[in-house]
Amino acid sequence: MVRGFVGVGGTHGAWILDPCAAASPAISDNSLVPHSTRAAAVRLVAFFVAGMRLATLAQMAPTLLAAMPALSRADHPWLTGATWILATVMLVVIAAVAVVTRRPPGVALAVVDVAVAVALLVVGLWTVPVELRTGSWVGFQLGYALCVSCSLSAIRSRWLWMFLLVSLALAEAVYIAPTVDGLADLTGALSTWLTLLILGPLAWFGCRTIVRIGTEADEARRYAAAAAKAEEERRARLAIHNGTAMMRLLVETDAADGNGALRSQAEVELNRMRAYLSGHTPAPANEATNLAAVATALGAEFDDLPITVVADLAQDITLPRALADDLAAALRSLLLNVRQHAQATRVVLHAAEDEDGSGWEVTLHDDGIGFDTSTTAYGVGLREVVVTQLARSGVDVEISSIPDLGTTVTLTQTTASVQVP
Amino acid sequence: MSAATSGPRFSHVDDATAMRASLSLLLPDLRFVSSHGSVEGLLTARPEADVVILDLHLANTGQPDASQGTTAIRRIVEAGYRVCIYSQEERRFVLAACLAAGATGVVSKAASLAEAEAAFRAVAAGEPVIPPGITGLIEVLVRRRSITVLTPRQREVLAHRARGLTYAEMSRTMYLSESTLRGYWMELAQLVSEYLRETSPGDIEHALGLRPGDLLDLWPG
Repeated sequence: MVRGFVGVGGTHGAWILDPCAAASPAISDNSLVPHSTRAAAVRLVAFFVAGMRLATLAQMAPTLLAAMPALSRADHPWLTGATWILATVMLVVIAAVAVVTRRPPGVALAVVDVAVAVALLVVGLWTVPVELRTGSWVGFQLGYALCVSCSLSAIRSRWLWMFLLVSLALAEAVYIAPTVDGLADLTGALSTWLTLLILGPLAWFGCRTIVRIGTEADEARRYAAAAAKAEEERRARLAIHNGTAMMRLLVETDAADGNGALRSQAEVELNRMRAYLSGHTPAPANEATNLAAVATALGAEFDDLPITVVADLAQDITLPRALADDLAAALRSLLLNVRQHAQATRVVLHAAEDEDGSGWEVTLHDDGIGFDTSTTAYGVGLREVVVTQLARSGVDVEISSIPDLGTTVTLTQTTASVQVP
Repeated sequence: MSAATSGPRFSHVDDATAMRASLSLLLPDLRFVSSHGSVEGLLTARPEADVVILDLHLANTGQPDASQGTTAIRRIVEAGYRVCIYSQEERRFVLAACLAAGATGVVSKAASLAEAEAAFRAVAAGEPVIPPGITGLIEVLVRRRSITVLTPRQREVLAHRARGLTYAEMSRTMYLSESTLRGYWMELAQLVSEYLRETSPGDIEHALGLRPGDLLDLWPG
């Protein structure tokens, strides 16, 4: 059994089930964990079974008390007493097992239960007078059989369940057949017989449906927990990636004293990491910002690079604050890559609205050493901070690079790619 | 003047003595025929050069009346030389004004020596050398239909150049040879130069969304 509490800070936490348990439709196995909907559904079914047993026992009890004094005058007193005792014991035992284990009786117990019910019906041919077999709890066998037929929800095999139900039905038919003497008796017997054939399947199907709903709820919860975990990890990578790159630059270049731009960037990343650790993600403001302003600000941050910002055609593009922040983080990550790896002598950051006004495009080009995109795996920054994060805002990312010629990253957002909330 | 004895001939105009003395030494593969502290000195000497590498700011306490900026460019161009600006000036509108005044290329003094040498050679071959920042301005003028004479191919080349792509990179995406692309670029630059020369600063200000008078002091009269 594998259990765990996933998520950070409890905000996305959820108990999860053993995947093997979830895959199994059995409702009486030992794979349940406390805080699952499936476990609750199985408990409900167990209480239903126990309730049925106790209700049957309660209905048998007055008749039993009245019948005991007259037992010595019956045709088969010992046999009659034994059937009453056996039925009472079975009812109590099954109810107790269901309450204690909080599961309906397992397959073996269910088979024994049905066998006892069939035996009681057959023995009832000798112990119960014909006129008392229906409409009286002296002939408790019919009520007992109905109760048993409603307790088979633990049986997964459809064929076994049908066999047991048919066994009960046949035994019941044999038990009530002698009561039929004319059409009026036939309809009464038939309705009694059909009650078992209808309520039994209804209980079986209903109980299994409840448990299946519980199972699916657990699967949905597990999926949500996994998605929350993945989201949390993504947020962590997003918050930390650029910061670690900044720290590496500060350490490797020994530029902490003199490079103001580097220090400013480090401060931005520090604030981002602190916001993540404190759990207080800044609420996205409704203020929009300008694509040209974002590009220009990023260019200023990296003025130690031979960078040219061309953003005249992006003046009319306003961006939601959240997208502007994501875009800035993505460009910062790309420019950190350029600074660390490209060995470029010229970097151009170009931003422009599409000619037909249907969107915008940002291009970052460097004439550095480039790389083979078919053999080089993207790092965390490129994969998470750029591609994945921008894809959430409907921004497509295309990376083309030619060894020894340079690299071009194109970020594109068209009206069609923006999801309207 | 320099070790190289073949290839295009360059003359260098810069008021900084150290620059004049060192450039030919730093770029030994270029054929420098003369260097001058002022445009007036150049025009007096009339060296047999193909390209004049020109600093934009030439006036100093020693030569307060020296021609500089767009005036200097015009005088040199009218004398029959190609001009390549080699300056620390980075203001785009100032550099665009240089093109309007007739300069064929603009190279930053911050560029590497290899890049500078390649740019000087390109200017000598008649190929315009325009930094991405100014190419971006041209892109704006085209987008706002102030320049309307470009073909779709030329516009495509312009877009790639504004994004910093080299001919080699463009060649791979456009499936055209580098020489063909170079040809498109030269035609395009020629058209743009004519436009800049013939269009009033006011019209350009309007097209670029500038305030009236923003270009007046920068633009060649």
